[in-house]
Amino acid sequence: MSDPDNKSLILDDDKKSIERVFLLTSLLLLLHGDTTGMLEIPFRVVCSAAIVFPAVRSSACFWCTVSAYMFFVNAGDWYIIDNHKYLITIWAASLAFATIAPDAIGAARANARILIGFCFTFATAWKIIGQEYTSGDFVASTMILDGRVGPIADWVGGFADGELTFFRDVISLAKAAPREDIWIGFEPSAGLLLWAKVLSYATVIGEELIAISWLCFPRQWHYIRDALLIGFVSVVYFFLPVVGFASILALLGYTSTLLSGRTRAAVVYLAVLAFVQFYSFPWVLWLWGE
Amino acid sequence: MSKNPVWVHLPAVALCVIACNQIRLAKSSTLSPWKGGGFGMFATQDSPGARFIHVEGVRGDGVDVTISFSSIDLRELGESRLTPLQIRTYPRQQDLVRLGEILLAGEFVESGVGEVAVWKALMEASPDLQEVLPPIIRSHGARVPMRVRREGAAGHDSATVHTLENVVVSVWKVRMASNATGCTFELLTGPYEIGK
Repeated sequence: MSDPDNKSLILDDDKKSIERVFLLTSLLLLLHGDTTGMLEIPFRVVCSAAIVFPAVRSSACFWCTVSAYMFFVNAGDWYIIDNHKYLITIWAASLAFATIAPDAIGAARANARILIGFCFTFATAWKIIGQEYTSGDFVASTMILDGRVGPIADWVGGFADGELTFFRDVISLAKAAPREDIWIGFEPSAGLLLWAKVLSYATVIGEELIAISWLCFPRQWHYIRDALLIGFVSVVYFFLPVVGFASILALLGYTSTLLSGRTRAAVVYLAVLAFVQFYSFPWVLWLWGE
Repeated sequence: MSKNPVWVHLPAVALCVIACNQIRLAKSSTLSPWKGGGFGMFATQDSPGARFIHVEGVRGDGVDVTISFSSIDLRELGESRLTPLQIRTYPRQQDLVRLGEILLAGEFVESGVGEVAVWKALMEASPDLQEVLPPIIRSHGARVPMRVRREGAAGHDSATVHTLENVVVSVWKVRMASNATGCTFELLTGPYEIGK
């Protein structure tokens, strides 16, 4: 015979857990959910209300309205918004479905896991079909052309002071009269090409492992998938600070672990979620720059 | 076993449908792989930031011009819907033609700070550039750089105001060659000529 009091306690714990997911998702929408002015002001109002009032953030009406409005507004800008805005919108819709599902916790937990898996599956697919990643060409070109990682490129490539900046300036100037027969030569260092290849393979293998582990691994192997995702979010977004993307991935990891009853792992995700908010500071320039 | 019906996973299905459609569009048309919900960011060099709009034209007085697009804001020309980011991310013929029509309706002044003007100044100052930049760009310096006339701006916008007779609009992308041995430009779409 089951103890009705004990069952009631478990239900209370479950309710608290999904309440926390609703709260953190409301906070995420407030910080990173808007894409245009049409979302910014309404989000400030409704998400603030959801953060303050538990009854608002637990209601199906709130999540259905918010996700439908996000779909409506983002559809107009579908080809200019960032990919993590899609993920945030789809996650809001998942919570809307969860609030009307027979088992809200099961729905939210399963969708969090599937969304992480699909997101990394498509990210890996693009890196393979794009044909520039596994050769190391994309990472090498990013190091050379993207000023945000310029100090790291200088460091690993051993370039002279201002060499990469000069190359980028020449490209900018040549854009004034583009022709397909224009060729602006560059002498890459062996160190840069080696690093580009190593980082490319590490990223593709890492992302593929995350996709497989979140979609296919049995539940008892959760340590592997949590370690992979936490490591990826903590390291990759430090160098490429897309804080909104790091936040939604950490939140999905948090949801999956918390709603599976793995509180310690959930606390780590929560810490990562808080920590990545500081990634928007220009750490790379501060640490590696002049 | 989950007590939930299958429809609770519709958002995940939506993610897959959107991503597959994005891959189709990026492979068959001009959509940047970085955008559109297919999670292709940081996978190819073809980001919206690596693309640029190039506009050449002829002024009313017959002078060949080029228009700097690095700092242009189409709102200054009364356009609120179309943005350079939209054009770079998914350049379609109708948007480039629309851009041409907007430019033909606009007023321009000669720019002292356009790319070509900066390039000319640097060419004189830096012998390194003489070696790096190919002759084709040097010859192109004959085009006069123009920029949008800003209404109400004091001082330098009192210069002669010009309109354009025709414009040629195209979208290009910057691409590093294999093993980063150099950089080249690829024509993505256009050129489209739009005249009065």
